[in-house]
Amino acid sequence: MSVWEFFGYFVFLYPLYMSVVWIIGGLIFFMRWETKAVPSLDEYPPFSIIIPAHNEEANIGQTVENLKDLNYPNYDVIVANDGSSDDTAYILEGLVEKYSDWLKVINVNPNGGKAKATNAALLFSKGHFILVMDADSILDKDALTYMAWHFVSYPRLGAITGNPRVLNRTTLLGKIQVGEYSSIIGLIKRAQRILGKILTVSGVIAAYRRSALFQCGLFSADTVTEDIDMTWKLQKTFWDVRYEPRALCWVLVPETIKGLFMQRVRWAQGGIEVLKKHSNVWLDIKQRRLWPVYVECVVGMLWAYSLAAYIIFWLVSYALCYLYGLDLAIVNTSFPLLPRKTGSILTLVCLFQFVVSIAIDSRYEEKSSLKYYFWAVWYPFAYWIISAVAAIVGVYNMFIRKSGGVSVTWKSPDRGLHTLK
Amino acid sequence: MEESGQRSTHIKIIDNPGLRSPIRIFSEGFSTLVCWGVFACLAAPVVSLIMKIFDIHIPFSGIDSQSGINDNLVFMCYFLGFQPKIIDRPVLKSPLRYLFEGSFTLALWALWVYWLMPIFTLLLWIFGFHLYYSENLIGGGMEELLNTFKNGGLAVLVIACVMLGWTYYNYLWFLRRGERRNKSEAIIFDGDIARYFNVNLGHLRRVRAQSIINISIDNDQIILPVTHNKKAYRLKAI
Repeated sequence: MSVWEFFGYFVFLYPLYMSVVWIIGGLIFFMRWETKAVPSLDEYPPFSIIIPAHNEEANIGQTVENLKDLNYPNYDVIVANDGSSDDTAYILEGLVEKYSDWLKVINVNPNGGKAKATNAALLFSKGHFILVMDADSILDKDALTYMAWHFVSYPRLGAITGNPRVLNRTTLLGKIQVGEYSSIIGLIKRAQRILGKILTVSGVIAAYRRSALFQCGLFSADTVTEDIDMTWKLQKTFWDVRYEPRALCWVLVPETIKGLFMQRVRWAQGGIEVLKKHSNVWLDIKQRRLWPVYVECVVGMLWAYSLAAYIIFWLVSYALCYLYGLDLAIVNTSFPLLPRKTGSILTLVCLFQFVVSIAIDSRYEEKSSLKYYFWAVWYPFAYWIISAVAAIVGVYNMFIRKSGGVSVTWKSPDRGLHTLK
Repeated sequence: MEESGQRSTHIKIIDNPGLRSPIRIFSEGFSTLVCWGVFACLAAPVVSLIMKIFDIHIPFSGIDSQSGINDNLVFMCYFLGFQPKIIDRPVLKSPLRYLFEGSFTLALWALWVYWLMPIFTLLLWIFGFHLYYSENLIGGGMEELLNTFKNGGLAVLVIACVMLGWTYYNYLWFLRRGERRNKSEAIIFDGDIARYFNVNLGHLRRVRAQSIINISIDNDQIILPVTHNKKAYRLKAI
């Protein structure tokens, strides 16, 4: 087998087999966990909701107002205003006057980043469990109850992440991300939960046991994705991390290519930083359950590079043939979009994965989410390319620009077309 | 709380087509249709095989409901955004009637499909499905595809068995070892937090009692505000 053939098989077969793993894992998780009703709680331990915010004047009011009547009797909210230069502090003052019995504001100066702001808020938290959520997201009324049940029932549970749902769906990018959040993020988390370890909690909605956070040394400010880092720290200290898809949180996603690309580069770079930071899991046999997650993450990175190399190599070969009349057999036999056996099967499996994931997640949508299936076909065309390029740029940022390992401050992408007009 | 995790209805999805220009709406829709076309091309060989194996000649069947409204019409209405109030109560029908109506309709559909076969054949021929015969039956492609399916099914089976086996192994392992391996406390109290940050518990509680707290971070250390003892606290680095 030539190197080219190997690349070709790897590029096509890796997503194919991982897709099968995700579908099977997602279905097992769905049948095992999601069809059951959550038992009512005998006690409601105190929950603290921490919202780190930086220049969030457009969204913070709605986010906090939404928290006033959650279906959980024992909670408080702490907003960590991290050196905002807009009217966030002023808006929060007004909110504290209205809701002083459950709302607290920590003004942190100077701006030090999400991790430090969250850590500062933890100092003033009262809850046994801590929910960290974004300042531009809407928490579902029942989310705390679903999460608290896991914490109360399983003492070894260190963190649990909820199900982020896309709120803004005006543009094509918004609609594609509806499918992506179901088909990729949701299905992968379900499968990883079945296999035992999760790559990362969703930073937009993740609840932690407070004692676990302190045991792990709180959030680290030296990575661009503190949520991935915390997930690994918890699991390395043998805390369990779970996924609860019924705990919903409605999030604003970027609707410009630039914003989306920035977000994906940050995710990719965060993943690489965490792999580098926690590479010592290979030195401890007790950490063996993290090895598959680590390997999957590394192979995913390699796949991104392989896909890019595959496409570039084919384009260059085609250009050489066209310009100089060279007879390269590779061009005639390997055009990626011809309906050959492997590509055809990959396409069908991909479509089936979308069907499974959207069907599973449709129970969390008020109206049918089937219409978003129409837009899901974009995912392999646009998103694989964006993800591959983002992974390459992430590695470049990490190892060439050496931008990792420093205290990271806020850099948010856009929050939808409606916020840009 | 709702039992099955259905989403609550207070969330309003932001989907405002008015924010998009007509050109953008057209280009997004058109290019997505192109994507579907490419997908259809990619999937065509396997689809043709499946159609042949299962003798499928129509996209979806329509069995008339007893109310006289064709299911296809309901299907179309659903996708067009308006769903009529259908009266469909199968419990009112006797099993015999249910069986008769269903089987008779199916038989009629088979007859209709038989009548329409030449048109389907023509359409399939136009779209290049005649290659199916030459490539899959004469050229032996069907055996190869069936082998692919067999190997693929075997791979899926192996993956499923490995996943289930691994999950069950973990379940048994932790069942034998007990719930926790780490000995950490499930709950941490204010005194522990004060010790962690190296701050006086009383001072922490006094500051915490305020609704708006202004703190500084200097060299990664939290500096609590001045209260009764006229000094600011420098806490453990974060």
